[in-house]
Parts: sequence; C-alpha cells; structure tokens
Amino acid sequence: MKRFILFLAIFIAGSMVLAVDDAALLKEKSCQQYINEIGTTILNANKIDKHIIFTYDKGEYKKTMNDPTITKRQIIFYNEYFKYIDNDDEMAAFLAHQISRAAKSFSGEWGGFVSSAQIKFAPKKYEIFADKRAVDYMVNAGYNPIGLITLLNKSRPQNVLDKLVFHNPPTRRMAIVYEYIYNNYPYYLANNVYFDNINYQNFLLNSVENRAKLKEKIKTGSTKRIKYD
Amino acid sequence: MIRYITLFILTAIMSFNSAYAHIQVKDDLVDQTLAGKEFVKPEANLDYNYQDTDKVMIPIQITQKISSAGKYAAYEGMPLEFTVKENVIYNHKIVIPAGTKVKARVDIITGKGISGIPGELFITDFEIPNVPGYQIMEPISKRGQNRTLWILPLKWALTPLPPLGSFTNIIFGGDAVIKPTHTLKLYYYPNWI
Repeated sequence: MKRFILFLAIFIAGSMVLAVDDAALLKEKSCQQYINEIGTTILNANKIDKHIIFTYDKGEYKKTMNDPTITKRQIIFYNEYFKYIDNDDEMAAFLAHQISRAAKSFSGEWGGFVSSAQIKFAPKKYEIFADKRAVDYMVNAGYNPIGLITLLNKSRPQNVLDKLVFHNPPTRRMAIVYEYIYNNYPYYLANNVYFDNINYQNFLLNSVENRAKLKEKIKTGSTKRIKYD
Repeated sequence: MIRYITLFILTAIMSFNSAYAHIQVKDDLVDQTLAGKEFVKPEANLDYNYQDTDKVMIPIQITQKISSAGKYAAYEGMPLEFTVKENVIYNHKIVIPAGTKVKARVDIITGKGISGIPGELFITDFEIPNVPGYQIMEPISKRGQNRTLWILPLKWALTPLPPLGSFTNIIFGGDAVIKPTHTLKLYYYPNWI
C-alpha cells in the first residue's frame, strides 16, 4: 500500500510539472505564432524575396556586439518588448523596422557583408532609413503606420547625449516618420484613428516645434531636409 | 441602490471623458492642410500569388541627371521620367516598346557617410503603360562609389598601429548619381497576380 501511495504521489507530481511545462510551451508557441504571422505578412505583402526569420525569446534583451538582425537575418523579439506593444500596428511597426534593416543587409557586395558593416558603422543613418521603409512595409501589409509613432513615443528614451550615442533621439525619428506619412500616406493623418490615443496625443505635445518646422516647409514649398530636434 | 451606484459611475466616466476631450492637443498642420480633402486609403497587397517564376528585365534610362547631393541633388518625392531603352519582349511579343515613357518618383535618399559609405537613391512608383504596379519589383536603387570595399581591409591592416586604423573613418563614400547614359534594370513579373 505504501508503495502504491508513493508511486501515485510521484505520478501526480510528475504530471503537474508536465502540465506547467505544457502551459509555458503553449504560451511561447502562441507568442511565436503571433510574431510569425505579422512578420511573414509584411515580408509577403512587400515582395521581400530574402530569407528572414522571426524568433520569440522569453528571456531578457542583453546588449551584445553581435546583431542577429543584420548578421543572421534573424529578428529576435524579447518577451519584455511586449510591455510596449498594445496592438497589431505597433507589433508590425517593431517588426517592419527590423525587417528593413535585415533586408538592407542583403544588398551589395560580398553577400551583404559590406552593407551589414555599414549599418554598424552608421547606425543613425540606417535607423532613419529603416523607419521610413517600415512605414511603407506597414502600409503595404495593411497596418496603420501611425503605430510606429506611438511605439517610438512610449518605448524609446530621449538620451541626454544624443549627439554622441548611436541612436537618433526619438523626437527626431517621430518627426521624420510623421513627415514621411504626411507626404506619402496622408490618408492616415486625415483619417487618424490614433488621434485620441494618449501616446499619440503625447507625441503631438512633444512635437509642436518639429511640426512647426514641417508646416513652414510646406508653406514655403521648400524641398530642403528639415533638421529636427 | 445598485442602480444609483451604476448611474454615479457612468456619470463620473462621462465627465472624465469630457474633461479629457478639452485637453486634447490639436494637430493644426493636418487641420489646415489636409482637412476637407479626400484621400483614398492605400491598398494593401494581401492577395498575392508568387507561384510563377517568369521574370522580364526592363532597361530604363532617366531623362535628367539626378544625384543624392550637390548640384543635381534630388529630393524625396521628386517626380522623375525614364525612357525604356530597348523593346521588352515576353513570349515572342513586344510587351513594352522601346522609347516608352515611364514615370516614377524619388523614394528615400540616404546621404554618403564615414568609412566610405556611399549615398543611395531609391526610386519607386513606376508607372508603365499596360503594366500593373504589383507586377513590378520596386523600389530600385543606385549607389555611389562604395569605398568601404577598400577601407575595411585598410582599417584592419592599420588596427595594430593605433590610431591609424581610426583615420580611415574620415574617408567618405561617393554620392549616388543617375545620368541619362546609365541604364537601370527594372524587373517585371508578367504572371504575378
């Protein structure tokens, strides 16, 4: 009898561990499927004929020298990023930005090695390129590009030393994305479903100066590039 | 009692919403320049079928010189005109005759940068008579002189002698230039739907 009870206890404990493992695995799988679905829709809708994969990582992002987006063309979505993603548009915004970097790394000499090195040498330049291209990718895949503005507004910090760091200040990035949408996809601004979104409202608040510069450019018909703050 | 509590909560939510509406930041740029205009929602490309592998090259030449910077500097959104250089033949038939005018626009411009990074011009929205846009692989791009190709090996060679390796960073790449004599290749997939 004692043996039977011991066997039963071990069996139940084992089943519980498996059930917990299954639940974690199912959650991981559903996250992976969600990322795959949006990522692959962007690839197909934009005729990106390069092999790029999407990987969900339940761990935390750790900064390393290696950037798998441009070296392995593997876009890794860390679980912690979910805290900034509120809808499909914002997920598409994150993935579209990374896809444009990955796709860029295929171009040029030595199988894209040189392009990848250039993205590393001049991250600010290619960050702006990737933002603009992400807008195109999102629109072609049926997502609202204003999701990129709201995502940037809530997720990117405004570094004190933005002249020295390797990223553009988010206020500049958002202003450039706004201008790109204004010029190429005004429908989304004229019929803005994000207008009442608190992050979009916050963008409107912190971009008053930058939008005034764009207003002046439009008024004067200038074609010069605006130096956004 | 429950009714009164529900009514109170609803009133509180409504008054909060109306108070919030007052603090909305207006987008006067949109209000002044886009309001009242009709815009068509851009069509998403979700009904694709990439089964067919037939591909036809369209050689095109620009009518006016442009570059990523300098005297002939283009700007994003700039309208462009190209001419088809040779007859484009598919299934023994001329599908696009030589001399056909093709409209397009400048898409994104990236300037030249340190470590030999070249400027790059992207061109998109090609309008070719009798060819639907979804059958064209776009955007296409033209780069300037890519000096990274020789700067990288030089940088590696000089790295053991600091700071000589870092000096290579100050070499810039070339501006992207498209002249009327340049032939750009545009690819058309006649059976894509």
